[in-house]
Parts: sequence; C-alpha cells; structure tokens
Amino acid sequence: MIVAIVPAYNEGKRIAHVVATLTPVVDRVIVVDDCSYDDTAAMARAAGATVLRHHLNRGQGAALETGHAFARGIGAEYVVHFDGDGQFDATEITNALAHLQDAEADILFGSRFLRESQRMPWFKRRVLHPIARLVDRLLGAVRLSDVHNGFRILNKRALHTIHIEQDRMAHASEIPQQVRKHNLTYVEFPVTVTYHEYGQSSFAGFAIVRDLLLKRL
Amino acid sequence: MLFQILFTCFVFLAITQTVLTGKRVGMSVRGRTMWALLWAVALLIVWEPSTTDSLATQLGIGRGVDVILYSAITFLFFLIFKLHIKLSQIESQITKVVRDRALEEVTE
Repeated sequence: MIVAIVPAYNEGKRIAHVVATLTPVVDRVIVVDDCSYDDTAAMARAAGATVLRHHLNRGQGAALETGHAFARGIGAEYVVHFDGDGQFDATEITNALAHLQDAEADILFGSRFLRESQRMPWFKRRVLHPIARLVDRLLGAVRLSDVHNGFRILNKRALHTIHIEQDRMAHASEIPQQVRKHNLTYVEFPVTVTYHEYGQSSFAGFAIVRDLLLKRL
Repeated sequence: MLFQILFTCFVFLAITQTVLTGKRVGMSVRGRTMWALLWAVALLIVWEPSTTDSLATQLGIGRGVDVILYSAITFLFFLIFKLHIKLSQIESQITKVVRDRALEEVTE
C-alpha cells in the first residue's frame, strides 16, 4: 500500500486540488491538519483524504510523524511526503517510486538541483543552500544535493526506523541524519517545485540550526 | 542602610515564597533548601560585603563585587540552559498528547 502523507496548515484553498492530484497515483491520502484556522480539514475530507487533526499547532515535522504513526498502523509499504501547498507535481511520484524500487534503496529524496531547468531564486541556490548543506554535513547528515526538499518516499524499513523528533522545520535535517545513523540506503530523484509567493523566510535557517543543536543537549 | 533593610524584607518574602509555594507545587525539600540557602547567602553578602573580598583574593579576581557578578552571570546562564532543556521536554510531551488524540479521532 502506497500512502501519501500531506502535512497542511491553512491550505484550505489548495488542499482539495493536492488531494485530487494524489488520489490517482497512491492508494491512500493522509492529510495531517496542523490546527489550521481555515477549512483545510473539511476540504481535505471532502476531496477523499483521511484527515488527522492536531488540536494544537505542532509544526511540519510533528505532522509528518503523526502521519507516520498512522501509516505504520495500517501497514503501509511506502509513504510519500508531499507538501500541502501544491508546490510538487504528483505525476512524478510513479517514476520516483520506480526509481526507489529499482535502486533497492530505503528512502528517496527529491531534489531541485538534479534538473537544469529548475528555477530557484539566486540567493537561495547560491548562498542559503550551500550553507545549509555544510551545516547538515557537520551535524551528521548524509550528502544530499537538496537538503530541504519536502518530497520523499520511504519504504517500510525506513518508515519503521525513522522517528521524527524535530517538530518544526529541522526535521528536514533530522531525516538525513537518521538515514546515516541507521545505515539506511538512499537515492535522489529530480523533482519539479513550483514556488508560491509565500514560503520559509531566509531567517528560518537560524531557527533550524537552533532546534538541531538544542535537541543534542 | 536603607538598601540593606529593603533587601532583607525582599529576602524574607522570597524565602517564605520558596518554602510555601515550592511545597505546594511539589518542589523537593532539597530544591527548596538550595533556594533558601541562596537567598541567605545573598543576604549575608549585602550586610557584610567584605566577606566576598577574601574569596576574590583567593580566586585572583580582585574585588568582591566582581566575584558576585561573575557568579551571578554563570548561575543565570546555567538556569537558562536548564530551562531550555525542560521546555524542550514539555514541547515533546505536548506533541505526544496532540498526536495520540489525532490518531484516536481520525476521520475518513
């Protein structure tokens, strides 16, 4: 069973479309509504998703781990991490999954940098991401071309081995760290990311480093 | 002299609070004793500032007041560190409760 886990916070306008695009390519869509104050949960449910609702906002990492716990309970063989804002292309899941299976790896990480045509703001590509890659390597993560890409596919072994403890955005660094720690095998796959007006600010990186260091105390 | 009197009143209140409120919220006897002792030492230093001078000389710092400042800063940093850890533990516990409830109430 292939399960898509979609963490969502105030994505009422986009979530129905995201669920609709996922439904043909996975067996089950799980939306984890992280205490949105709009109608994200109702829209996702109406679109056919299974909805888990956080009664307090706990962050994207916590929402993914809630989805993991549910997926483990229903015996999922593969889980796909997919953002709720519609920035990923669901049609790429089939090829990505085939790539993961062909490589016999435990986890697949999406990457914006394996495809030349990918558009990304210059500052992010040339300044923020090289710094993030360096910090992640120093903190024990595996080597990735795109450290903070939310598109991932985990097989059953990875699903049962990786337990996300970073509630907020630092989970994106924690997962590659756990891959290295537990000797899981991984591959990267080029994915398309469509940027919206909003997203993480450039200063979010400081909060991520702070969370990673605090967790080590 | 006025400062010493005001500080004594404050310390008296602080020790009373430490003993009474600490007991009510479940602070250990050891914890309450440590805080009470800390306030008592502060009171001693305020009334007899020269007591820190000999300690300062032994430590090679110079002035007694500097010993107090350095110790206070070190203690405060340690306290912040402990609070960060406690806060992080509480955050994890909140997430667990929120997650368990979400899994119980799952809807199709």
